[in-house]
Amino acid sequence: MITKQLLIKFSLFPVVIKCIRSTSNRCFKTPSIAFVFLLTFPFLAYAEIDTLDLKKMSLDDLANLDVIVTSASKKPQKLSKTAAAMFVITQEDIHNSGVTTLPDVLRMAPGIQVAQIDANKWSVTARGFSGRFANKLLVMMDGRTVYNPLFSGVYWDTQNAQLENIERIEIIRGPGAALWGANAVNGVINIITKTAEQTQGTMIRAGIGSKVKQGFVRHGGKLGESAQYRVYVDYNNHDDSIDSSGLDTADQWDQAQGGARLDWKMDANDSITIQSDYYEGTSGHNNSIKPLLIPPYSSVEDVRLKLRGSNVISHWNHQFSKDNLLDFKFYYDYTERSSRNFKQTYNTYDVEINHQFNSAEWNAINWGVGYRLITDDILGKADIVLNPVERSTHLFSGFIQDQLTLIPDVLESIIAVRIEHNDYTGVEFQPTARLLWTPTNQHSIWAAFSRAVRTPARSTDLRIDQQSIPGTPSRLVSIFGNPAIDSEEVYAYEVGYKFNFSNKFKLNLSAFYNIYDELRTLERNAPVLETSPAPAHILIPVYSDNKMQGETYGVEISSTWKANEIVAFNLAYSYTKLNLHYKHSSLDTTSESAEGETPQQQVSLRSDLNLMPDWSTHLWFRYVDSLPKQDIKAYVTFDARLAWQVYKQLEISVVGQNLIASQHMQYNPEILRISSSQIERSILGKIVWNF
Amino acid sequence: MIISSYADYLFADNRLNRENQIKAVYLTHFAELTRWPEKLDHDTTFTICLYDQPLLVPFLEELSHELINNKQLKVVQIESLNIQNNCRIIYFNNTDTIESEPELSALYPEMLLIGNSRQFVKNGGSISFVLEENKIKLIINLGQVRHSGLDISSKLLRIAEVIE
Repeated sequence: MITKQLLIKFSLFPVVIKCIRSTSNRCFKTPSIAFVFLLTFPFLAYAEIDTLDLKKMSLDDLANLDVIVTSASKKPQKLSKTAAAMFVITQEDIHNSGVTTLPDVLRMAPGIQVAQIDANKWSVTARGFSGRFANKLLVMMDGRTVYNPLFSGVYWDTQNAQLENIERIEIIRGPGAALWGANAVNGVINIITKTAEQTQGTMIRAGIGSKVKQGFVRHGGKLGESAQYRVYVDYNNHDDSIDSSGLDTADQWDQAQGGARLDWKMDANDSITIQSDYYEGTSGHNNSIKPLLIPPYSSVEDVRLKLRGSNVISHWNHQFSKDNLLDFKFYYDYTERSSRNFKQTYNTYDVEINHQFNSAEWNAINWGVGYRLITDDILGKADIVLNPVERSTHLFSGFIQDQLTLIPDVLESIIAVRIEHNDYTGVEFQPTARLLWTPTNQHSIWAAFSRAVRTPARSTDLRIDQQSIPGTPSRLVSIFGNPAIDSEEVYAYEVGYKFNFSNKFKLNLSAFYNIYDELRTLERNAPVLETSPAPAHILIPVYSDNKMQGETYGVEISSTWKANEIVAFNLAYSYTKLNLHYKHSSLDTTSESAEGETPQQQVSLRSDLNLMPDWSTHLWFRYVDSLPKQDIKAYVTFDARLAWQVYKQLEISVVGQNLIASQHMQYNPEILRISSSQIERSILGKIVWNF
Repeated sequence: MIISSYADYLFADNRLNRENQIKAVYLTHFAELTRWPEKLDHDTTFTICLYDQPLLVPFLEELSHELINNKQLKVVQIESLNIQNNCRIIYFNNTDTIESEPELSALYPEMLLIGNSRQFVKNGGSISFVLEENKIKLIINLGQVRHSGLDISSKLLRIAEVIE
């Protein structure tokens, strides 16, 4: 490694050493000194972080950088050296954008489709298959999986990440299952929060706007020489959105959350992190239509949900040597969502061990094993019921990754496989093979082939009464989960190109072709007479099955151009196309519509403009294509933020979101029959005080 | 002989690398986040002078491919404390010789004077790097900076300890 650096650094020393006259008229000219430079530069320049990368860091991060590095954390790979379609959102990106929710932050990334359904619901997907109950994206916070065990998707109204606590968000498009585990079919979102060391001191943030009221207090301190902590409380209140006639849609959402984190460096080789959060909130929607077996055959009601949850996560990190690291992780997560007629509670226990070491200078191995237990209690009293009400599921998994250097600095291969055992489909095999070619420092090309699966979730035990058709007897259409359902699977082919012209200009291209099989469909079965609940009625059962196949393909482009100290641009473009086809035996007529529910093209252009030292402005333009199957038009919108650093501890900012139209629709609710909401233009004033 | 011992010393002390690397990055931030007199707007180069500190040179060289406020970064080693008209920033690695100087800012008008001790800013330096808890902290003498006819962005002040 050092020899490698030596060779590179030896060839580039155009040092400007100018002779300046001194009082004694001597000149700085000793040739031996210059020679010393030449020889020592390789060592001087051998630092773990590239100087240009240091320059890109925010001042806060620079001020928090350790001079002696003892952290045993995973050695971060340079973005240009990753053989995957990866995009990183930094704290600075989040701060500059001024957005208030996590899904809105994710709109920065190419290949990620974000659509707001109402004040508290979003559809967030990677590479297609959009929907509120989308299930092919793995979302993790500090290693804790946040998807809901009922449908393997994410309830975004409880992922109220305190945006100031986030250090970065790593977004990997394409299958990440071999490394990250089940349901990382189309992508992985990895939210990484700051260490307690990075959040010392006190921060107070208060914001008030046309749609949002928020308050946040965070305090970080030290416990002795080697441990730091932080505690925080956070409150957010999001106003109702409106329907097309301008009436409130009763989807107001509020949440209070508190938490703490402790980072303890026990000795040079061991560190422990423990963090915990607790939240309570309410969320909801209006005009929820439930079928009735007697006239008027349906009832309409507003639904209020109580949200409650907590989690504890701990990491123990041990460093045997610089290239030999062990991470032991345990977490517990409690989630509760309850309305008058439906209450879900989940307890998740997860333990994982991860070990990385170099078996030779040219070969790095990373392996791990894990076990997850989920116990749940899902009690439905009306149109949604689960049978059994309580269930425990077990997930066992193990993975191994081998990173082989074929030609030092030029060609590298990565082979990884994960084997999992779950209660629904048994053993699943998820491999990936990747190749990274770096012909020069500026260019890299990668290719990957992977297989990943989306395993069935607790919804296999589900029944949803969807619609009641008047008559004597009445007919009831109900959707049933299918205990015999198989995993959905993808074979993904990906290529990518990265170009780092300089610190100022970067370009990242990726293209994918995915082949899916065993995709879920809804199959109508023969009607039967159902006597309970009374009155007797004809039940038309619709079962989920695996009778669809498909191909998706697309291109994603992201580029950063830092023109000078005043102006910088970030561009993201995505093209995503889905072709889905039912198998011959399928009677489904609805599942194929997913083709028209993902925007084919998306553009995001962010620009930072810093005309005066204490002022910064941020403009964010977005274009999202139409969703023909949802009857949603293409839209163009932009956000703007103006911030004034009043003095060193105090920042005042104003953010406008969705400024072009006064309101527009982004996505329809699905499965639940509730009203559609309009996303309104909004404005927010914010004060951040650090001391 | 000298060469090898010098190299060994540096190689053994990785800390110094990181420390100097961070300081070099800070120097370019100082250049960008300081308001300089308008008459200097026409300069095509921005000169950072290093007094008695060759170890920052390679890092600054790496950073010199980027313009600083549309000016080419130039790194100059100086070995005299005489008036240095071309320097916009002077980094004094060893401030022993100048700490006794009563009117530093008069000697170096319109320049940022960077040192490595709390004493240096108290005695009329502009900014000091001090190593605290394994991190490099900044101390800024804002009064001195403004007295020199310069001003520093609050983005920088925000992360520093400011004395007037």
